[in-house]
Amino acid sequence: MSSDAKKETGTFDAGSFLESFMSMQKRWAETLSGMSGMWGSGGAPAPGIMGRMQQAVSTYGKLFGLFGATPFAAAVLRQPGGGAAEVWQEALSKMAANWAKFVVDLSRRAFENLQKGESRTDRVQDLYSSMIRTYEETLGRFINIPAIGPARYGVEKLGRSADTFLKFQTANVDFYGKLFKTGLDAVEEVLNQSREIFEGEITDETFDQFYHALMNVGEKRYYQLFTSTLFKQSIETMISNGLDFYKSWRELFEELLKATPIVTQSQADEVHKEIYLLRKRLSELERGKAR
Amino acid sequence: MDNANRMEQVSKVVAGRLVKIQERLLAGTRVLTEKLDTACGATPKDEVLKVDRWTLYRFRPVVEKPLPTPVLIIYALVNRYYMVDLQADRSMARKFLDAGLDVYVMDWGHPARGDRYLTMEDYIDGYIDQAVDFIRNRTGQDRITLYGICQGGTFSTIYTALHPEKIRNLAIMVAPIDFDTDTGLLNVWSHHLDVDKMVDTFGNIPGDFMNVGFLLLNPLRLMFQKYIDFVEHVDDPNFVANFIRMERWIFDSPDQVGEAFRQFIRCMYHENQLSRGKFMLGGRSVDLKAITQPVLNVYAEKDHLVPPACSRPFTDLVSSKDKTVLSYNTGHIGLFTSGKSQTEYAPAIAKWLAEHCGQTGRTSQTRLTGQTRRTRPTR
Repeated sequence: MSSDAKKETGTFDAGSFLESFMSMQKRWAETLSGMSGMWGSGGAPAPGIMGRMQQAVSTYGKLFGLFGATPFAAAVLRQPGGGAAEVWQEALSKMAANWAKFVVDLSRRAFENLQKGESRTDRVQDLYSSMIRTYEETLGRFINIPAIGPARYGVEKLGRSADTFLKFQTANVDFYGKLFKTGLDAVEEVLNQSREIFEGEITDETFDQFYHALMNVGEKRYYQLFTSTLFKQSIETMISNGLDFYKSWRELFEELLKATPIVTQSQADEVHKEIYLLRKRLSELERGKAR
Repeated sequence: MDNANRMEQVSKVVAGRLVKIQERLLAGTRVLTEKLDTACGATPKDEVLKVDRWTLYRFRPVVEKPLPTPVLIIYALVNRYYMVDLQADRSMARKFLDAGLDVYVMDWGHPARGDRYLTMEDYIDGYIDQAVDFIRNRTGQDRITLYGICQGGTFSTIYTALHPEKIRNLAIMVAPIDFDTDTGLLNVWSHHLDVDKMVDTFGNIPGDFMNVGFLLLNPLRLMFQKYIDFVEHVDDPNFVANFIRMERWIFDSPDQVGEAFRQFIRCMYHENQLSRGKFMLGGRSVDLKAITQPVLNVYAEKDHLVPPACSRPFTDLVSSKDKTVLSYNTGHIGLFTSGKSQTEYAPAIAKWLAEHCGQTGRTSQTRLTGQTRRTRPTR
């Protein structure tokens, strides 16, 4: 912390603090980058394991610098030979391009369907498949990068939680999309049927007729949806993805709880199982004794 | 009619409707904020046995000398038992008492995490057997009548097949026995459930999860129309009280014990072992042909939870000579709560039970500790 700031005003000076913080980041990045030079002649990687360690330290240093003060990190990362920034930039560009393509495709298909007057539930299935594919080819690749370092175990669980959460939400979109679409289809059918009703005099009874027609048509439509193969696959996927997310979330939570004296659910289950088996054995012995 | 006129008509009707709804909501607010009697289980009963999470109740008889053979009502695990005694004017238990029956009911309670390893064997050969023996000792009867409802009917059937010497009559109501049908959505969807993954992840299956599944069976009527009808009648205190009781029961779903759930889904819904004669419990084969007692099979023609195709085959699978089938043009819950439930359905069932429970298997000497010395049973 700059002592000048304190002397001058007696209060915290954000500008000076940031300057000092960035200066500290610079010294860290220099140290780490400099360490890569210790293993061999400037720039050229040493052979064998030493060379691999040198590369690893160099990459680590650049990544660390990336999350430090941005102006200095940019300077570090502009070193010849490429750095983490270029990798990130390339990956982000690809991700953006894939998502843009997905949105354009979706819009084009939706427009085509509107023009044709088509209304098919399997289009929602297409949406789910497209979203999952796009996710797995873009953000999913980053989320599933293997973790390294002392927090590897926890970081992997965090990644798995995020991965399962996103897949669960995608399955939800598919599932609820089908339900919503069926409702819209029912309304459309009833409106077509009700043209004559609404062309005559409109009274309370007119609305009652429309309401009851909607209930009957909706019940029929939903039953058709629920017995369809697409829906069965959708509900299976949604429940499966939901269970994966629930499981991964619980594992993550238990990982956090390990540092506390709180008994986790898994630990309690072990005890419950033992108690159950003991009670079962006891009751068998009592029954044997009674005979 | 031109558009302007039509719009005017629509506006008038919509405005009229909105005014009516507002008036009803105002009246409904008065109804809801006054003291409403929404308690369930109006018929007096006494707790006679409590084991683990479940409790055995005896309804207080309304006649001086109830019929000798007691009736044990076994409800499903998926919902609470008090559907049989929802309110004073919709109580199947009350009808049974009026017919002179001695009625007991098992309340399975709410399982906790520690119960997740209980199996169907624990429920049927353990808890139900315990309750049956308790009643036999308490009443001095060698055999009792089982009345199983829904999944409780499946359990009662299995129990009777394994312990025929303890059961005088078997009555089941909307009970699934043959699961090989695609007329019910639960049967259709269950084949797409990875039950092992569900149980391994959840432990006990949450009651709310089951509720969502039941609501999805008919989402428009159960999540939309029902509440519109509520608003239409919100100014009627009786309607509101009945509605609240039903809502309380519907959403009072206990968690499903993991291992028993896994076993039930796999053995019944997936493999249909019971009706195929392949079901094993506690190492013993469950043979429905071992049931020779008088049986009553009650089912609902419009049942969307347990389609008639699941219940109907029961009478063909047993060896009983005395078989009675009662089917009604109503739904699963309608058998308990509809207008005809008190005037037609419950009295018919009570009549059958009274006719078959009038006989006694009483021994001349009975000790409450459970050991009976058999003499010639009187009939």
